[in-house]
Amino acid sequence: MVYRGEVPAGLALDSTLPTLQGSFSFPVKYGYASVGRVVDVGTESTNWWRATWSSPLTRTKTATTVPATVVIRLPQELDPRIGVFAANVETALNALLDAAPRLGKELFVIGQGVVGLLVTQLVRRAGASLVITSDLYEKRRSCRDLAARTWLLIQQRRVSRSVCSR
Amino acid sequence: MTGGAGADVVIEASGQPHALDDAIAAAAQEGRVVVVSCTALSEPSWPLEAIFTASA
Repeated sequence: MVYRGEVPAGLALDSTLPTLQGSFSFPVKYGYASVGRVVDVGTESTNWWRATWSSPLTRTKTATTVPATVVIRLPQELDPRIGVFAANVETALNALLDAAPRLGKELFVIGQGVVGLLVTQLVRRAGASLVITSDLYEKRRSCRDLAARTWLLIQQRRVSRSVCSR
Repeated sequence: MTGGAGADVVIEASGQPHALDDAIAAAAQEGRVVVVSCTALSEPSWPLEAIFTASA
């Protein structure tokens, strides 16, 4: 939405992120999912951060200086590239907590973008007996192999009929 | 798919303008609908603001 300029220009950027300032009116430096290697630390930071992979919530840039408070230290065994999903996993986890799936329940996840895919894997791990997913784009059918059992192509808004079918 | 009952939980993560209608239609009675996405440039056919700001 930010990329397409669909966010109201008067809306303030997330005030909880110190690296973002101003509004959504263009040009805007925006982006909060990034992964990088810490090359230096300030005097108030501890040295063990140096040379570790981290996932700061920050503008997307090649090199950046951020407060230590917005940096998440990635586990050593994790592929650093996966760390870029940290912010989206936060969103997906919130969805999971709201969904409160119980063992054996049947869940339907609409949309298999980044967040939808993460939500699907989380509800699968939470013990859902059936996870149905759907998306507007045919090329996302292969995402079914990740966690869901059934995948539906959304056509003419009537995907709910399939979900409610016997 | 769900034995005719609908899904226990529906999670709307697409942001497509009419997806919320489908999400509610696909949910079972007393089922739960979770909205993760946001839509722009279109008005949802459900009064989301009233629903989400209503006291529990």
